[in-house]
Amino acid sequence: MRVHESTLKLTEANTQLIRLQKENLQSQFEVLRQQVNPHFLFNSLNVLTSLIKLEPDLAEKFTEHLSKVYRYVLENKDNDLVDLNTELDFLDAYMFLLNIRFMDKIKMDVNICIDAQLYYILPLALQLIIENAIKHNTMSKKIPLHIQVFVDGQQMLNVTNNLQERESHMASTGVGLKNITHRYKLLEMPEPEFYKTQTHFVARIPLKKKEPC
Amino acid sequence: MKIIIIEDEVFAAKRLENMIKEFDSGHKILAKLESVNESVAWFKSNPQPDLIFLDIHLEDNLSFAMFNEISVNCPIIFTTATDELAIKAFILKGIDYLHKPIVQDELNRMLQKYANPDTHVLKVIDAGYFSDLMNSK
Repeated sequence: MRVHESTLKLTEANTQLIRLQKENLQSQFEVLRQQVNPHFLFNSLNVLTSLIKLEPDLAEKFTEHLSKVYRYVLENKDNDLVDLNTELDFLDAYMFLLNIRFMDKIKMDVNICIDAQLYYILPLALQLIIENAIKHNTMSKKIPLHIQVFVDGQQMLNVTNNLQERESHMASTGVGLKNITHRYKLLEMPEPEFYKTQTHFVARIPLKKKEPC
Repeated sequence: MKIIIIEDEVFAAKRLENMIKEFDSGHKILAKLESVNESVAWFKSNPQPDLIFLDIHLEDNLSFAMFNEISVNCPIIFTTATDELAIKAFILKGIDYLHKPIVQDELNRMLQKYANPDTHVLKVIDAGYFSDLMNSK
């Protein structure tokens, strides 16, 4: 009887602990999600102020894409998952902004050979991975940062970049990629993988197939 | 003044150049540089300018890394969009910085300050000066 009671108590304590851990992760996630945006906004405003006089037509296009990006963030900031095709549209707009900011120093190939309407992905995961690639690698007109996005045989979304690591970067909390892993844990989905090969950095992000209705 | 702009975003560098000229067309932009390597090479083969505008995140490294190769004894104004850590350090070390997007009034104030050598104390910035801000590989 006593043994049974204490086992029950232990299980209760354990459940409590797991719940607390989950809440903790959730709140961290909220904080992290908020952090993504101000940096990007100020960098974009900086580009925009430069374009207004120098390239007015481009400034207009840039503003259109910037509002697309922010509308996406606004509409999806409370969603756990989004349609893959929606995230890929967002990626197009986001890359448009980066291409103007960095000119010929960054290039991206997207090659999605599955029906993107049938899959979900974590919103803003791609943006975090690309931001991370920019932070850790050198890029120049001569040797651009080359990002490739494709789906592999195991239905994982791969984001790879050629490794040309910077010698140093700003001291920071380094939460970018951990954030993605935390969010997948919260959703109880398979975890993403991040690793380096001799030549590339690889991020493999799980997709979730929609239930047929 | 003879001025150097070190900035890896082409449009941002061009805008800063225009704003400096807008304030005083007598200022001369000696060079616009995009990387630490390029900057180190420039400083090794040219006399020091009167003023440097220096972005933090350059295309090949953090700009702080250039001080491992060269020491600079002219005033530097850092430019940054959002590096809070760096800004805290600049305040502590008494170094000037401008937020990007740069605002014309704030830029004018800096240009006025450095056009008059009596209003500022020169600091020599060399290796290790910013080492606390860098995460090295």
